[in-house]
Amino acid sequence: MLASFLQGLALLFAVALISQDYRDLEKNTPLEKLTGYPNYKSVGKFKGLFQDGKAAPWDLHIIDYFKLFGATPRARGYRPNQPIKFSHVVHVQKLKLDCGYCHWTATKSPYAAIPSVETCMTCHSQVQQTGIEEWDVEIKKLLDYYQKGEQIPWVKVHVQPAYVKFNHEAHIRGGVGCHECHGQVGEMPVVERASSMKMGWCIECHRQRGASIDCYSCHY
Amino acid sequence: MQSVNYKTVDTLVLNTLRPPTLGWYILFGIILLCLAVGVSCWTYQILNGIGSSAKSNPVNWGVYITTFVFWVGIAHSGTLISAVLYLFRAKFRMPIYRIAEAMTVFAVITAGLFPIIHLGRPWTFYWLLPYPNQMALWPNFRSPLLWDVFAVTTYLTISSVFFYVGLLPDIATARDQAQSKFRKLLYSIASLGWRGDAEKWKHYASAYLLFAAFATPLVVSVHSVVSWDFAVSVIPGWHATIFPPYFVAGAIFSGVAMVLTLIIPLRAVYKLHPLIRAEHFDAMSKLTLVTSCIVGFAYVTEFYTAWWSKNPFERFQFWFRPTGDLALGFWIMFVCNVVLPQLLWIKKLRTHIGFLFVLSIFINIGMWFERYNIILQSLYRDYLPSAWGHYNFSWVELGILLGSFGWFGMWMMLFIKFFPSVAITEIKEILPVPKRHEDDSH
Amino acid sequence: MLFKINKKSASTRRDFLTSAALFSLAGCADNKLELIHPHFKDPEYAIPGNSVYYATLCTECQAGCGLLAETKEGRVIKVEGNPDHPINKGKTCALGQSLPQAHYDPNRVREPIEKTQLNDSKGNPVFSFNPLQLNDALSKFATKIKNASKILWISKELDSFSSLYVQEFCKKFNINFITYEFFNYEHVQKACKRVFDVDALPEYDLSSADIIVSFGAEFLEYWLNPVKFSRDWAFRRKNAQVFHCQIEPRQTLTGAKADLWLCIKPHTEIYFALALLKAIQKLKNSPLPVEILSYLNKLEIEDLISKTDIPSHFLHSLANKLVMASSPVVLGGGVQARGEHAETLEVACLLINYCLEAVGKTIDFSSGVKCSSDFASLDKALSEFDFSDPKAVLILSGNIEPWLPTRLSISEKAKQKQASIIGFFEILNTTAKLCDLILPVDNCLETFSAQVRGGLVTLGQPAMLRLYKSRHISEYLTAVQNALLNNQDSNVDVYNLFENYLRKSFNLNSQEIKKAQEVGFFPLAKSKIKPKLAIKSFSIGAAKDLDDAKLKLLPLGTVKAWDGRGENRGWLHELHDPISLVSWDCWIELHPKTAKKLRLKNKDYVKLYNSSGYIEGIVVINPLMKPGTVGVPLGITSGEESLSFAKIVKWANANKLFDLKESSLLASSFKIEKTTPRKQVYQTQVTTDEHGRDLIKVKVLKSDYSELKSEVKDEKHHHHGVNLYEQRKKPMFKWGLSVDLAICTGCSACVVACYAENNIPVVGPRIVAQGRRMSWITIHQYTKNLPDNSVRRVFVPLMCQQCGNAPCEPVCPVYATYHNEEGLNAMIYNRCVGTRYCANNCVYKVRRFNWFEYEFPDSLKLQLNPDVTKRGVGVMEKCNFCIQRINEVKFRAKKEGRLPRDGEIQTACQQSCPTGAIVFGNLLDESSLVSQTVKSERGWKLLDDMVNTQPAVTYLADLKFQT
Repeated sequence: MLASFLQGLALLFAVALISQDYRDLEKNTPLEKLTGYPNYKSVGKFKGLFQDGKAAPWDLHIIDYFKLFGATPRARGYRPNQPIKFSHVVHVQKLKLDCGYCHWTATKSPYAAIPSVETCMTCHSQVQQTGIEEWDVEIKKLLDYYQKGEQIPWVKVHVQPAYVKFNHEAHIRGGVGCHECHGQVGEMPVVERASSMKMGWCIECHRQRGASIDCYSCHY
Repeated sequence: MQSVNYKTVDTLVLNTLRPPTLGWYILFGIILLCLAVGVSCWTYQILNGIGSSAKSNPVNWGVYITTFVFWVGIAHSGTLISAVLYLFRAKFRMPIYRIAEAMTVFAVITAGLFPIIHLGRPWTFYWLLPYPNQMALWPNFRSPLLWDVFAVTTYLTISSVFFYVGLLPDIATARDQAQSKFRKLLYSIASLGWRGDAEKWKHYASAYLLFAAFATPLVVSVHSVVSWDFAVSVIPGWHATIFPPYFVAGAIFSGVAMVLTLIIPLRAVYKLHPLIRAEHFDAMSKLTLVTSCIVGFAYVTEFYTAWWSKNPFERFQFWFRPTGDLALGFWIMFVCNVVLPQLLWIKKLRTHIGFLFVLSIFINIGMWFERYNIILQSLYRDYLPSAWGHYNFSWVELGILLGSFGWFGMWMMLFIKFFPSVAITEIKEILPVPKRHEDDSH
Repeated sequence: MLFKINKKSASTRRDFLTSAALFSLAGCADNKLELIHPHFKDPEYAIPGNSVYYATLCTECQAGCGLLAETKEGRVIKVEGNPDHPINKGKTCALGQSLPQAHYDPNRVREPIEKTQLNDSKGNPVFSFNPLQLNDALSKFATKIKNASKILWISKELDSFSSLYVQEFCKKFNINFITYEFFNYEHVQKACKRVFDVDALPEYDLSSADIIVSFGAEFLEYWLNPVKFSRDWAFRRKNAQVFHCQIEPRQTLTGAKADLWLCIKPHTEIYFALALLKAIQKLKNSPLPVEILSYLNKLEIEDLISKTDIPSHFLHSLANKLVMASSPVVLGGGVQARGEHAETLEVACLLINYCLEAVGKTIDFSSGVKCSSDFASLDKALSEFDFSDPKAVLILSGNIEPWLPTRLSISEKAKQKQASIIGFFEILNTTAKLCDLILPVDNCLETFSAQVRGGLVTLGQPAMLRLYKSRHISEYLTAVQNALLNNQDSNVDVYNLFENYLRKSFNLNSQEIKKAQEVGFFPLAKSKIKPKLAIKSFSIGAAKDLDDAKLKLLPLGTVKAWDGRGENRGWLHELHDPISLVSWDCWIELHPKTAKKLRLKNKDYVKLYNSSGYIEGIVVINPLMKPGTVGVPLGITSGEESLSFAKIVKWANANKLFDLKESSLLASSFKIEKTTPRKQVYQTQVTTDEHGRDLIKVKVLKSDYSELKSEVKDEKHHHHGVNLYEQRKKPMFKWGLSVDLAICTGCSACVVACYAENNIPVVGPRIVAQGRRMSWITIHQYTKNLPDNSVRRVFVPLMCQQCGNAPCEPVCPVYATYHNEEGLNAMIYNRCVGTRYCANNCVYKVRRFNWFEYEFPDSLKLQLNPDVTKRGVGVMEKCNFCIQRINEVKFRAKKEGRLPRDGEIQTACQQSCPTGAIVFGNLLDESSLVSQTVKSERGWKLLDDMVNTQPAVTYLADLKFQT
């Protein structure tokens, strides 16, 4: 019985890796397509599993990778296409915008809200011609949304299940920098998941900082 | 003994491996049907939610745990007969221990399913296994349910290994006599190249003895652990120190009964009368009688302690059992497990095959109701009267119960057809050594 | 509202099974690509994730309680009492708590509807409801009004803002406007007019009363101003400073809390009152008018009292007590007392109060609160109204139909009608279905309203945008007015109308209005009047309807349904009535003797009917009622009327059994017969008896509270600190709760509040009958025989006791439940695998299991609290002392660099409790209120002495004066 159990796991593991590749091919845009961006080395797709968060290779949460079940990918390197190819590289590195300028609620409430269309338009009502064609195309998209008065359907990258209560305000007040969970977003042409954000990964940090590891501080 | 010699033993036993008859197919079909019912019921339950079983607050456990304990109990006698009696050099075990062991292994496999069936979220059952995981969480080693996991898995491992070791020489025999290619291949793989020379026999004997020694403590431990599921809790009627011995005795009781239920038809069908003889049944009947008396004693003790404790909850509980809503269950248990087996004081009946068969079935029913009685009655009427509740079976539960018999039966049927269900070598051990001229086949 | 099994998640489970054997069952929470839709424009006040509170008004009844509506991301998720509001001081009743469900009701009228009648193949009329554009609807309305020969408007009591515009409108187009409520106080008002010549309802002040004698007035449930009364009563009750006597045929919740409960023969309260009046008059010889005196002299106390079946010594002792008391008060009749003499009873009560000089002290008329309900004219108008006249128009607002006696029932009259019916409705209820044109009106959480009560004007304001295409009634009327009198200038926006109203009626300027809306109310100048006795004489006719031979029908109000206004709200239906313990179903109460005579036993199903109506229900044997009476709960309406569960349970409306005359509720003779028993019994408790286990404590006092201080607690059983597991490091908090049974009235507000706060699913009758109700806090009932051989009903709110030595914790194999450092017995849903061992091992049986995937209907989803995880199938859940509130406050305090103040953290149940029976706080803080109450002489911990669970919840024994 034990043997068959292990066999089963091995099988799952194999399928997982295959489906992982398959998913990457389908979902992620190859980098060379994104011309005009500084080249950026993607985090390997397996690292999400091994290199952080104490996740063991035989951990059954490997299931999270399954295309089969249509589960939201929760691994490092998850990099879906966005309705607008918004580049943090440009806005953070070139324009030196602070995270808090757009994600202003992060310091005021549990949620770090995605900025409203109007927030974008505070600048882009002026900035519409950049000279770089690829960029203007994207800005055009924004303007269209604005004219139509529609919200922009961004694709969520840092998915947490509903039973996890993560309070951005509390963490920022506790001196946790944005990058510690979200990685160097400033260097990402397309936002991707920089950490697996699995429980063990949270706990590790909580332990290091002497924060509460009572289940009730996140799950209720 | 005269009627039996090495050759007849081989032929008699290996007869069972002959290509199945129509009767076998029909029976097997019926059994598969039961299994199908069980599987579909479980699928329905998973899709619809565990609520499709009739459990509710406060009766949160029902048929599934009952059946779990029932099968674990069945699983007991196997090891008892094969290991303990082996150590005691009890001769009468020889012809029956193989079937008993097979029963053990398959009963444990069946029992192991029920805790999972019973879960609210069966797809998370592996959280009960202690493996290093990304949640950085261990299971709760204080919980009796976790002890169950360990107890049952250990028992499964040991008993199946012991079982297999016991089988080795016989598989070899079967290999030597096998007709079809497939069987030859199967047996030669399974027998691990057993040649039966003196060296091998020496190792074999010591290994077997060793495993017997390993297995023996498990006979006591496993069901004690299972009994702690109840004894460790605070529910009136469960929170009793008598539970471990009481459960072990009950387990052996039910196990022996199940052996009878299996071996009597087997003997009849495959004409094993010369191998399995009256004295064997007599011995088993005595074992049954003894354990029945122990169980009966335990029942009475429970009532006595409840009365002696002056604890209002205990007292009410044990007054409720024979008189309350579930009194029927109680009386079925009492009659089947305590009253009927007393007939075995009569020598005639101890060797009367038909009677034993019927009795064994009654005992099986009775033992199922024993667990039913313990689990449901206590949950019906516990501490706060304003929170009392009720329970009635749902067709899903009964379907799965049926399915479990299908599952068990399937393995038994296959085993009988593929492996010698009576221990050839051990029977040969107790036969007089044959004279050369008498038989030249060897 | 009812659960349904979530097919989506089910199908994913199927995938798991089929495609990946058993290992691969991951059960991941969410399995679709998630999108984020940020605001298009950031809202002005709200920060996503933080709550915004709006001070508003509860228009469920006329009491005028102030509310705080909590909104998140622009949705109302909960309503709580406004703590600054003088009437309810932050408390609400069960009905008020259920307001969000009225707002998100799946049966809300979403747009104007026109009903057209067609004929089906057999020629029977079938109706089709077609949506209309708002303007078309208005023009239809206008034309109907224009060429109407005669217009009659029947309405429930409206708040004063609406009624102002309605009345103006009615004046302009000479519409005959009639208000009618089933629970009306007409007779009280008439009595006041007769006795003191004041045209207002009396306002009672119980906070200073030391004797309360009530003739069945359910002042702790729904009588006049229940929340205020409960608070005041509890304030005196806690320290046993008030003697409370309740005189009624069947014990109500209020009666259950009384020190002296007298079971009187139905409709003979008047005789007792007269006897009492005479006795008191004798003792105090107070100056009553001559005629009255002579009339009283004619009467004989003995033969009066003999009519009531109450031993006369009670009367005399009561009279003495009243005369001795410093500030006594006698309350008039409740629903049960509304016999033929209902009005005279009130007169007698007022006279008694006058003799006791209570008027001006505990009774006050100065705020001039009126009851506009008027049955007599309704009766007249409706019976005169000519339905065959095609030009006649009937306007309805409020669910009147189930309240009307059968002889007036509109549905009957409107069968072959010509006249057109127009209705203003929130919910598509029975009455709405009668209308040809339905105009959707706003719920009070999405519009403005105002109520004048208790010397205040309470203002309501919208807490969120309109859900549907509804308008405020005043908007409709002004629009139509403009159309008909074609004046374009006037504005039809509700806010302007509201401002005009405030300006006109209270001449406020815009500053004051703004301020008032922030606070939620503003005081009115009060003119203290000392009423003079105006009555000259009164008398009652010969005793009718007193023969014991024939059964009498008792109308019973319930906290869950009132008169039926709470219909179609899952939370209220799921509540069990604290006395009959029936949830979802209708029931019929019988005294054991009566049941024996009728050859009925508990849990039989019977049909009770007379010429005017019928009900079906379960028989409930109730020893605490008069033999020879049959109790039927009012307002628990038929499946047809509350659409959400029509298919599951079917019964009719008890209101129809009664015939209203003036304000009396009388039933013609009726029959009871057994019907086919139902499979399920929706009664939530097997027994209310303790079975010889001394679980619930009741203290019986001889003279006063000081006795308790003298008596010593028995320490026999207390073996605390017996703990096999190692002690944790010294924490800062240990959360604890105390429940004072002496002032817990079983009003069930806490239960509804808990449902609202914690996203508890409403599972529906079938599953409730299986014992799978999800409520985290339930009102358990125990009946105890007391040493002074009286029977006492005790209501025990039972929630998770957060045991310090919890049996549920060690048995969980996966650490889904454990003890956290703050003394909470944590339950982690997402770790639970569902062995249910914890629930077995819980000695209080307060853990609840998700047997199915419970889904909320779309509109009700909007109410879900984002701070609380919605539990999925196969997961255990239970009360957690509102951990989300604890965490929120702790974090707020941390931000401000302080510790949470005592009382800053309020659990939902505590917050709603009208009597303040539930107290929550930090037990390690010696000064906190809860650690004070825990030390009380009455305190004990449930089952602790037997099982050593060391609960964090302390119960305070019920109190009662010996009689």
